[in-house]
Amino acid sequence: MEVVLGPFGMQSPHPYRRSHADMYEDLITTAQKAEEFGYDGIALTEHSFWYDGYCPSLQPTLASVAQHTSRIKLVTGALLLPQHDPLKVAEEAAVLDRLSHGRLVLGLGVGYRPEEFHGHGVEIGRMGARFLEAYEVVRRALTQETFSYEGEFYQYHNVSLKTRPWQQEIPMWVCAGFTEWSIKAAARRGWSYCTTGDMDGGGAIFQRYDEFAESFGHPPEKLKRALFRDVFVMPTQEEADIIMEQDYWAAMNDQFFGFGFLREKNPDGSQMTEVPPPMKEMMLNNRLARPRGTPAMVREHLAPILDWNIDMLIARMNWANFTLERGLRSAEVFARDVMPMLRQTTVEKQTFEGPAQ
Amino acid sequence: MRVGLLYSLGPDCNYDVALEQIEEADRLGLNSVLFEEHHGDLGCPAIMPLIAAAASRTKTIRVGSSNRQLCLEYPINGAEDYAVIDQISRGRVVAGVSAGEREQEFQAAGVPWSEREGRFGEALELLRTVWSQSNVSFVGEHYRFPLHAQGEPGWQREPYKPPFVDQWRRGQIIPEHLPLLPQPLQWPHPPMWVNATSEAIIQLAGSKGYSLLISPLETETEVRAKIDLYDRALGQAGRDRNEVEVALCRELFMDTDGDVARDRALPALRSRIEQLRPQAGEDQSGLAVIRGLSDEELLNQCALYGNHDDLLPRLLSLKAEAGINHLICRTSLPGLNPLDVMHSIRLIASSLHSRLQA
Repeated sequence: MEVVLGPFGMQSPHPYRRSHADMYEDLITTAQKAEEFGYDGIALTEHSFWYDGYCPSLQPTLASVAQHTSRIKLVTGALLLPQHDPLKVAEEAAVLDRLSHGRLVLGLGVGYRPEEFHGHGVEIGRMGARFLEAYEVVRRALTQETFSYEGEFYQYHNVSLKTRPWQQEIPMWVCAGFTEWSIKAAARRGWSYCTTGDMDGGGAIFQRYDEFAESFGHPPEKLKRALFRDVFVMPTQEEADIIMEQDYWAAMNDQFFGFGFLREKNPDGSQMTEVPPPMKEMMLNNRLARPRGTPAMVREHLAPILDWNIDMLIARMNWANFTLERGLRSAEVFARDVMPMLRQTTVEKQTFEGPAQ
Repeated sequence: MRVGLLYSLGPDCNYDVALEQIEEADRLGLNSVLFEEHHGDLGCPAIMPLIAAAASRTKTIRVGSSNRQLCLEYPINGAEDYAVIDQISRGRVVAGVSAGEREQEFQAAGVPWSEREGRFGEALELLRTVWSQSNVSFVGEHYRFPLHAQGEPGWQREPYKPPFVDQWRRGQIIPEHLPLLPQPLQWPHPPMWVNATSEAIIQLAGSKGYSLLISPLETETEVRAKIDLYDRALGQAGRDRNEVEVALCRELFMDTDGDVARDRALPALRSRIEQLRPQAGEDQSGLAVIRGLSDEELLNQCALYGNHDDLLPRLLSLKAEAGINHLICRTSLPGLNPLDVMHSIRLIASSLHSRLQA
């Protein structure tokens, strides 16, 4: 399986303020290091209008990374498609793919924050339907010489992209969570699926995906699967636990739960204002979904995913308030001590099962 | 007069060659490099990745768009792109924007062609607001930011004492004010260069104090007419030429030997004009001067080629009489050897740039 480092959000939150210009320069350093360590790609993620200056435009940023690297894939994970003009996304993808000599991997997501939709002039209602249409528009624009599309949100008539991408087909992914409709929608169309995983890691999601694909007449072995996974490698378990408790949890709590994106309700129906202790415990110590600790421990808890036929693992080690050095140290140890296990199985699988497809 | 380069990288162009030339131009101290957006055979449909790539390979040269078509999509996405690239380049972005040049591009994007000028004026206002103000709402005829912004037409900052919202509900409310983040590095915002596509647009640019960018293939008479109009609008608004940049794009090829320059430039210029002629339609009456002019007239009055002695007097007169203070040269012409283009760029930097800057 391919191992991608990221996704990076380019955040500068109040507790750990940095200059964005410096951060974009550091991103290039990170990408060069990732290439040196042997990662297959670097991923970025986007949000808009966010107080910490989360990166809102991925393809230009990846273009700057492309200039200073030569091998690694440039992954958008995820570009929030309903908030963009799909034709523009396809045009930028074609240019970026040519700029990077065919290294673009286009992960497209839906988004969930109302203010982002509204800030881009889009109503958040029916975002799923909008996403599916936009995905199809991007797919057609990048693969067909001249395309037309007649949908509810988007209409195009005989439009052709003259600047063609470098790759015959830019890999495209539906980047989503674990909701039933998204698994089903991707499987129905035979689109590759990338998931954040659920409490149990994500094996059940890929199982659902395969079942749906089969029922819609797509052979599951021809579909591609990818997984986002929080990992972190430290020499000792104690060090890792302290970092998670002090820094990872602070970032998670602030960025995600603190703004009500988790719509948990109290028994009386009111909005829950603090993360319940069991959930915190789960976020910090669910080793299966978030293996963080010594290399041996991470290897042990990543081993199950070898059976899920995953094509791409996006390993997230950097959080908003982590220093560059800390993330890079973990990335280096992960590459040295954990990646060989992930690689070895890829080779073995090819030899045992013959060439893929 | 500052000097820059202009690139329109079509489907067959090699981006690496262009980026190498840009690196060299940066090393030699040229002032800017702009990319042209064109949704067809002649140019690049999405220039933001190219600008970012150029920004990350250079140190001091300004990078930007020559004619980003602001109204083809909701302008906020463009504003975000510029802001991020301004961070990547550490404050070197130029936002060259255009109201629109070809009707078919608007049809493809599903935007009414007739509304382009109204939309463009609003989009400029919106960009300037979100780049320079911290938490804003904007209500216009065509655009609203955020979608459910209320109130009078125009832009507003968030009131000093906004209604209190519990933090844990912030992600669930419908916002009436939003910040664009990250903000661009340049303060108050990256320079905005408006393409002089029509009289109404030139007047708009002058009255609001946006800089002006005049496209190549316009005769010197027309260039002067446009600048006169622009100056009048500036004057009426009580503005000064020192606030703005007046940039002129030109096809330009230079060699130490004037005859060699002519022999190499003429076929390239002719094929460039050949490519452009079919593009000139009714919808471009304000923009293009290709119609009605013969090849010879175009070559004599618009294109610049030759050695130092041929070019300098013409450029100095453009500087002194028309008041152009930024020359943007399209040096990569179809069919030219990249080595010759590189040579031409080096000559422009070494012999023209210093004289024009003085």
